[in-house]
Amino acid sequence: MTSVPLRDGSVPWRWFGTVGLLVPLAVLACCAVIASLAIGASAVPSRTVIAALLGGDVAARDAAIVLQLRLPRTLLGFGVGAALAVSGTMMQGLFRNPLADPALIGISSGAALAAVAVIVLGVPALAAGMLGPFSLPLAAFLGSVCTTLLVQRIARGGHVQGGQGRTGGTDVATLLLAGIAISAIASAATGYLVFGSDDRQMRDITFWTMGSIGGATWTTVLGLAPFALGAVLAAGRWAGVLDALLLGEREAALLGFRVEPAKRGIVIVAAAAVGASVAVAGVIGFVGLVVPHLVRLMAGAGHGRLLPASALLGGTLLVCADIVARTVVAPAELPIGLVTALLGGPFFLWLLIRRRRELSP
Amino acid sequence: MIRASNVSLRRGGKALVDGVSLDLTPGTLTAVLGPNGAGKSSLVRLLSGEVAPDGGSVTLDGRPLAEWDPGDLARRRAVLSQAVTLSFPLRVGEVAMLGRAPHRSRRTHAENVRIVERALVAADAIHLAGRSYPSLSGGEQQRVQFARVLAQLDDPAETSARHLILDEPTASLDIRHQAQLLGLAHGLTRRGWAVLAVLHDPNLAAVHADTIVLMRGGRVLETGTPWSVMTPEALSATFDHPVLVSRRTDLDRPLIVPAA
Repeated sequence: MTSVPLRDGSVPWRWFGTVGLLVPLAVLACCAVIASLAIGASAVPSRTVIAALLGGDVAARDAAIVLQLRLPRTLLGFGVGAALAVSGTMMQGLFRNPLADPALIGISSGAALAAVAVIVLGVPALAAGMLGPFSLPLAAFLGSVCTTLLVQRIARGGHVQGGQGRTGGTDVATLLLAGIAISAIASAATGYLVFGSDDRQMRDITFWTMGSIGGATWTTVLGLAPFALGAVLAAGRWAGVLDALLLGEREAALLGFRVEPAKRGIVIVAAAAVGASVAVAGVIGFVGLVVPHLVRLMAGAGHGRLLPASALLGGTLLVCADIVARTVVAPAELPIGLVTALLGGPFFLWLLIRRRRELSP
Repeated sequence: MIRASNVSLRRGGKALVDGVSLDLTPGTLTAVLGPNGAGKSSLVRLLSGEVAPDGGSVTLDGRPLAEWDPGDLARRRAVLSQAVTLSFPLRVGEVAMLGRAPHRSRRTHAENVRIVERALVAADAIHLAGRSYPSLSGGEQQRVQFARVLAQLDDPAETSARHLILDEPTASLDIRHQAQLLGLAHGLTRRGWAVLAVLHDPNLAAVHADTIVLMRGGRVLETGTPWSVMTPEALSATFDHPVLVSRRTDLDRPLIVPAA
């Protein structure tokens, strides 16, 4: 047998090793976090930032700015970015569609509708008294999970008898179409509610539909953390089945994967992560779409590297977008969703055009 | 041994497979021939456990396929499907490596790489290992998928019989790779594997198969050795087209020519 030098370091399909990819991305993430802590209305030197983080001897004012004001906001941005990017990666792998995104199957719009409904219609006094400031995030989260379950239920009932042997289970095409329909309905309902809202409510609604991490506190950070971390850790468990799903559900099942439970689990975890993100930061688009694409360009489509790298890059990107959002029109702030759409939209178009050019001779 | 006993598969009131009994016997290459719509692919889905039969049973070593743990089943039988497309640019090596998924927790990465390499060499696809799968031609993709299913079953520690099911494995291959693939599949039967191949070219079947199965309308018309089954009458009835049978000059095998 011919001996071919494929092993270990020289394995050509591992030209970008996991460590060689994740370490630079982690360094980049740290730089973004420090920059985010340093930059603002009152600039703090990065050396002071690092000292404050490590508990060194720093002026009380600088320590307060870094640790009390900017750290929760930065961590929230990083968590939201990571959660959205990982959810987007999982959805794209599951649907075998590079354009799939949590927004596409209606999760984000369902979450936003629930939040807007709470803003405009108000919550019953009893519930408001019990939930206090959590009523909005909770509504967004419930909206996300309910939408996902509804879409998935429609898709599961939608198997074709007598076609080329679909034997039940979630039909991906139906899932996407149901998501589009639900999105349209949720957007229409949101629009109707906006119509009947007053000025103050309108500003709150803008926050939810355009996204902002300006409301960050340690409470919101802790509220998001389990969902973001949970999604990243669970995603690692599903890396193998997501790789196999790239060959199609049939091939994945023939390779011995239990496809149906994995699909259900992936959708639920992604919905929970997106719902938690919308709950704390509103609807922030394009992160879940652009980040996995970028990582695939760098490291290929294997999920073992794609998922952790997406989490790191998604967090980094959102932290950077937030720096832009709060500096360009200072002392005012842009909604961060506006920044990600402004940066992400053209970039995505460029990707599409480039891909088309590569594919055509 | 995978054994189908009187299996049927019905969809939309139509019997796609109708009372078929068939064995995948270790050490044997079985070729299934038949016209379009004969139920060959449906039979593959039944034999692989992908769909449950509406009647009859399919067993592996006496146990119905549905009762097997999916991972144990995947280490004993693999299926080469007709055309597998990818929407994301996995590299060829990564695609072939997916064949090792059922062995992930049992083998080190280096061992898996070695087995995948061997499979890629056998499928004449090793030179493609670093290429992006979607950029390959149809025939090259087919060879990579063949390497993947070889890697799925090829394991030094596995002692039970392996069952390799090939659904039109040669459809997009040139004649050299057609002969190479089926020659290799036949070589695997020498190692005790059971191979079943759905083929469209009766001459490939006549040269490489130990057992020929003729199907039409969801039923098996004939089963037997190439010489006993491949008569002008049986082939003409199967394909609903006159067929001439003579004898190859190089091998003691039938030579089949469709009449004009």
